[in-house]
Amino acid sequence: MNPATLDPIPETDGPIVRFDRVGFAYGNANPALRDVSLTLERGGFYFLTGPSGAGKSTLLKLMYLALLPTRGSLKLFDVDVGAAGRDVLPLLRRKIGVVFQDFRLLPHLTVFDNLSIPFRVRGMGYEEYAEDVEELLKWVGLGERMDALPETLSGGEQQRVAIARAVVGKPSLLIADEPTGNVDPVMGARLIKLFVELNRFGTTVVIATHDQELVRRAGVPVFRIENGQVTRGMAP
Amino acid sequence: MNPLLDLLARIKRFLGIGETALLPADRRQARPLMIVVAIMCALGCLAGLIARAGFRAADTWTSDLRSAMTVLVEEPRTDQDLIRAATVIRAVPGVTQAEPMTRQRAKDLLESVGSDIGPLLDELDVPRLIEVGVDPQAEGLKARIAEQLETAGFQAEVDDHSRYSGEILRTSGVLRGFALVALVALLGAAGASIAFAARAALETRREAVEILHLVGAQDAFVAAEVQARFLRLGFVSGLAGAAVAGLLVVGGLAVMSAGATGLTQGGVLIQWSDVWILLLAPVVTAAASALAAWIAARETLRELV
Ligand SMILES: Nc1ncnc2c1ncn2[C@@H]1O[C@H](COP(=O)(O)OP(=O)(O)O)[C@@H](O)[C@H]1O
Ligand SMILES: [Mg+2]
Repeated sequence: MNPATLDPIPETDGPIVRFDRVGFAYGNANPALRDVSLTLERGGFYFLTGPSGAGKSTLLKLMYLALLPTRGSLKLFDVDVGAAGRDVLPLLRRKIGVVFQDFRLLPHLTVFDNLSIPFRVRGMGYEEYAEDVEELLKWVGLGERMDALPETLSGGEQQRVAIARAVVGKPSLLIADEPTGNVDPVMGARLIKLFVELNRFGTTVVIATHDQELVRRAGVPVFRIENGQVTRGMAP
Repeated sequence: MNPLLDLLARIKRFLGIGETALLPADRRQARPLMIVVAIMCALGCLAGLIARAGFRAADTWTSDLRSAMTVLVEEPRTDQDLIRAATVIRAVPGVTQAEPMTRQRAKDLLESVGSDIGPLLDELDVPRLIEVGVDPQAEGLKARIAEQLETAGFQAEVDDHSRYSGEILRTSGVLRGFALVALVALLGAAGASIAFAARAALETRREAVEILHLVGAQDAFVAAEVQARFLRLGFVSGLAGAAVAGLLVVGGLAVMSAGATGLTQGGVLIQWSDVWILLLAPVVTAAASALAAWIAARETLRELV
């Protein structure tokens, strides 16, 4: 049996993300996260804020399974990550879309091919994904740049490709690390609008940012992280 | 974008053949590796052919020896007695023929070794020999022939050449051993270089590997991307190596047969049918290459969460 086509993780009613007293340390360094407990409900829209170096990126990396907790328990889609086998983690990752701070587009692949990756790792063939990819690229205004290499795109265009790649697989959870960090305030506001729109279609959204102004204007639940601990989870 | 190229790209994608490699090769890394693998494959083919020649030489010599015995008749030893002894021997089951060696042939043999002894030879007491042809599969023939001759009143010695065939088997065994060790060492070295190169390739494409991993690729998927590439590389290098080895052997045999003396036998030891070694080499190289790449890829991937 082709491992790329294993059964997907079923949707459940429970919380989409659940950190229970999670700690994480890079090697032998002081823990970047000490004792984090938080819950993200299905369909929610969340901000994660805190000063630079507070551990926002680390928290998100745990959430998109680039790292595993060194303490405590983390549940994604009701699956206990610590107890899940190595074969299950990729299935969880397929339900998560990530917009990386530095985009992380693959430089040797065209825009189209970059967007094909989430499908190809699922074992899908060209005919199965081509339409979705082309449609989404038109939607983000890059219909004419499908065969361009990322290096020939402007920063804003690259970011749109990065967002398109994050959502093309129709993830249940969308995670963005400092998406407004490299763009001007007008563009930043437009991006947030885009995320809100995706959230309306049912995607749970988490955005990490140190931009307090952005967070104040959004009026959505905010998790504040400082000294490796989540100090406040506040509803609007 | 050139519309023609664009169309081509679309057609290729549609056919599924144009899907760009997710982890493409770095040419600067691939070339030297291909050369190394091709050289090792050529050496492997030569070792294989030499082992094959060793087998064949030993086979030919031992089966020649096994299907023949020599009987030395000591008493009685007239020409008549010799003919009678041959008849006795012929009656033993497993014996295919028994011919007394004529004085003339014995003399010829002696002459060919001892050169020109001239008329002196006629004075010499030439040994009375019977050349016996036997079924090489028959067991205990030596003892049965000796027994029958004794019963018929002969005093004779049967020589089954076992001394020589033992020596030949030992020698060819050593040669085959060397060739096999060389083959295994070459396969090991090729595997290790490819595993090393696969690791380097994954390191070069670390970012791509991580992205594939983070969007939900299973280890097997990433490993297969790497493996497919090294399978091709192994096959192409193996083909080149086998071709070089083939040319070397053909050239070597040509030089040997131009020399024209007893050494021409070399031409018999390597035959056209041995071409299977050259045909098999690219397949084995490709398989070894793919396996080494697979193992290296899986190990590298384990370092990721
Ligand atoms: N790969 C790493 N290795 C070691 N320490 C790291 C690594 N990444 C981050 N850190 C440390 O972990 C802490 C939290 O970093 P990070 O999660 O990037 O914070 P933020 O995203 O809020 O700026 C910092 O002290 C940082 O130096
Ligand atoms: Mg950060």
